[in-house]
This record gives sequence, C-alpha cells and structure tokens, in this order.
Amino acid sequence: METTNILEINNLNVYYNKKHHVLKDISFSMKRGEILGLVGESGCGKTSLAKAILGMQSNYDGSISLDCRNPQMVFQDPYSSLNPSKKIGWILEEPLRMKKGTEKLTHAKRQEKVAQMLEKVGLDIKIREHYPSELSGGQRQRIAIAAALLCDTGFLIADEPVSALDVTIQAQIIKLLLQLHKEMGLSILFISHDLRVVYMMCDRVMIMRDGMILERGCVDEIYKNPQNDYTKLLLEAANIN
Amino acid sequence: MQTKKKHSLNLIIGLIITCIMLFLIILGFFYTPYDPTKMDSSAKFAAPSIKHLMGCDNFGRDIFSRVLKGMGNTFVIALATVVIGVVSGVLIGAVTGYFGGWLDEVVMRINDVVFAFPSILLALVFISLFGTGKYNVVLALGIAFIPSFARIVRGEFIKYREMDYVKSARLAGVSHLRIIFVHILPNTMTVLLSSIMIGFNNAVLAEAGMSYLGIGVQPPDASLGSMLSEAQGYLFSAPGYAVFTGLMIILLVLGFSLLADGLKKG
Repeated sequence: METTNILEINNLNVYYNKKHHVLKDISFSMKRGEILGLVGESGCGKTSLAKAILGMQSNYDGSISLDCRNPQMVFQDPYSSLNPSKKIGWILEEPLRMKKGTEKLTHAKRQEKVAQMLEKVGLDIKIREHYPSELSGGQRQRIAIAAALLCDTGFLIADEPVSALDVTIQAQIIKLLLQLHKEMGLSILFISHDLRVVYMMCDRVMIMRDGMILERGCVDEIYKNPQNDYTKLLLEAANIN
Repeated sequence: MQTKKKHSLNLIIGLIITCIMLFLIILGFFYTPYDPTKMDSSAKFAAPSIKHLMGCDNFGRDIFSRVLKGMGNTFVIALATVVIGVVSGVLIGAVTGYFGGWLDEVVMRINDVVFAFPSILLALVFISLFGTGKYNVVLALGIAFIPSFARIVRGEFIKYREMDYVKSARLAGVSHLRIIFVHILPNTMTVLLSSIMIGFNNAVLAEAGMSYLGIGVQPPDASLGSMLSEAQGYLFSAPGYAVFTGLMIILLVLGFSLLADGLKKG
C-alpha cells in the first residue's frame, strides 16, 4: 500500500451566504488507502466539508489538494440516490457512457463491466431490469456504491451511508465497504455520527463540532483515551468505555 | 384506496370519450358525408334524420359534416398551441429551475408579468396587432400558454436538482444538458402530462371563444367556436345546431379533463 497523501486540506474556511461561517480553519491529511472517520453531531459541518472536497462548495478559502481522479460520494438517503425513472442497468451504465476518446466503451463492454460490479457488491445480475422503487434500502445503497465505483475512483466519501438502514443491513453495507476497501485499495472518508460504526470501519478518526476539528488520532487511541471533553461526552452517550 | 379507484375510473371514462372524439376528428380529415361548405337551399334548417344526422344549418349545410371538419380545425389549433406552449415552457422552466440564480430571477419575473394577463386577453392584443386567422390564433395562444408550463416545469426542476442522484450524476461527469433532458425531465412527465391535458382543454375553449368572437377561424372554414356563434342566431328555429356543436366542445374538453385527472397519482 502506498503511503502518500491522497488528500491534504490546509486552513479551510467555508461560508454560507458570506456571513455564516460553517467550517473554521480545518487542516488535515489523509493517506492513500486509508479509512478516515469523521464524527460529529448533526449540523456540525461534516457534509459541508465533504462538499468542499468534491468541489460542490464555491464559497471557501484555504487549500484542498486531492490527488485522485473522479472522487465520488455515497449519500445518506438511498431513496434519493438513484434516478426513479431509470432501470438499475441504465443507472450503472451511465458513468461508463461518460468515458470519452480512447476510454470509450461499447454497449457490450459496458454491460460486462456492470455485471462484474454487481457481482462485486453482492447483487444478482437480474437486478439490472428493476427500477429503484422495486428495491430495498440496502439493495439501493449497494447500487449507489456500485455506481460510484464504476467511475474508476480511488477516493470515496461515504456520508452516513448506513444511518437510514436497519441494523442488519448496516452490518452488510459496512462489510461490503471494508471488502471493497481491501480489494480495490479504496480511500474512504467515512462520515457518521455513530461511534460504533466508525470503530468498526476506520483506521483514524476526527471529532468535529461547530465547524472545527476538536480531536484526531487512531481509533483505538481516541476511543480508549479521549482528551477532549466533547469526545468523552460522545463516547459516554454511545455507551463506549 | 377510494381515491385511487376514482382516478382509474376517470382514466377509463376519459380514455373512452377521447378515443371516440379522436376517431371522429381523424374521420373528418378524410371523410365527411357532405361537403361541409356546400350550400343547399332545399335543406335549410332540415331536422336531424338518417340523411342528415344532426340536421342542416341556415345555409342548408350538413351540420354533422361541419362538426367533423370544425372539430378537426379546433383540435389542430389546440394541439399546435399546446406544442408551442410546452416546448418553450419546458425549455424556459428547465433552464431557470436547474441553474437558478439571476437568470431564474429575471426570466421568471418576465414570466410572471405575462402570466398576470388572462391568456384570452393577451391573445386578443396579439390578434389586434397582427390580424385574425388561424395561424395568428395559434401563435397568440401559444405565447400566452408558455408561462404556465414554464412555471410547472421550473418547480419540478427545483425539486429534483437538489436530489442526491443529480449530485451523483454531476460527480460522474454528466453534462448539464444531459442531466436536464435525460436525468430530470423524464421524472417531471407525470406532472407535465396532466398539465398538457389541462392546457389542451384551455386551448380548445380559448380557440372556440376566439372563433366565437369572430377573430379565430374565418368563414367558410368551420370551427366549433365559429359554428356556435352562427348557431346562436337560430337557437329557437334550429336548436340542434347549437346543441350538437356545444355537445362536441363539452365532450372534447370532458374527455381530456378526465384523462388529466386519471393521470394524476392518487
């Protein structure tokens, strides 16, 4: 595994409407192939940070350096992640249709890649003929992950990908993400407010509150010996320790 | 459950009426029992019979033949009006709704100004400037119909542009144009289709109204509105003329209204 940084953020400040200061002087880096957890309460700026990294935030200062082509995101709500009027096969082929020039793929090649990806995320190939409304939340989230990976990305932001799912399905999706991380060397920024899920998934974790990073470090280190009062409070509330 | 049942019943009845009306319209394009403009003084105000199903008018012209021809004219004008309104409205609504910002503000305020005037009044101004005739009616009503479709489509685009699947498409490198027409537009079809049906009804009534006022289809061409206007003078001597013409307008509008209602999700 390479140990170079895939993401480096220095002194990032994000504003909404030029007045509301959402992210305050955020600096951190992420190693290639690492799973970094980002934990914090709702409204603390986790999704704003993700949007800034993906270039979906225009009103910011500071530097964001992402050494990866086609960064992708898996969203929280599996019900709005997939186009309701298209079949799964079409949805999964869409990123492949965007390939230009020498990378352009024939219909047969696209279908082959889709079939391989479906197998990788543990879904039956017949699911291509279904509409999103015919699938369960877990199946939809698997499709969303498959669609993101079909963009040939090495960096994935998972924005609370399991919080809308029930516990058994949560475990399946976490297992899938870990498996894909291992197989494809995927770097994942895993956003969550569930400390137990972060413990299972991540190598390192950052604790965020009010647009600032309060504490960061290895998961074991932070969970066993938290330094910040807010981190201690979060761990206590989650019944960890 | 009850609402769903009502919607599907409306859909079926609407479909039956519309199919019958469309059959009569298509029939009128290729065949009429008599020449709709041919006068026959011996048949003046003839009562409905086997020979003349709906009787004859003040010039002895066969009313059924004129109804068939008139329905065709009204239908074509309403269709062309809706096509102009929908195509322009979808383009304006999609672009402003998707991109938002100052473009949306400017275009939609202009839209609001046009929308503030009743479509018939706007069409009357247009006709008074550019003259009567069916082509000018189509253009005038078409322009007057643009704001309502633009507003509906814009609302849908504002709703869909924030959905995660659209964000994913942007991240996957899909162009704005493709997102607008391939990713979002098909999802607006349910709402758009029912608006098209309602728009079509309004266009039928607007055309009939304008021809009734004498600024739409000009004689000797027939249209349901101009026929109703003529029939008004003979309401007591030949009531069938007004009744059959009015009935056709009602059925045409009712069929599409029920279809629009049925298409709405229960």
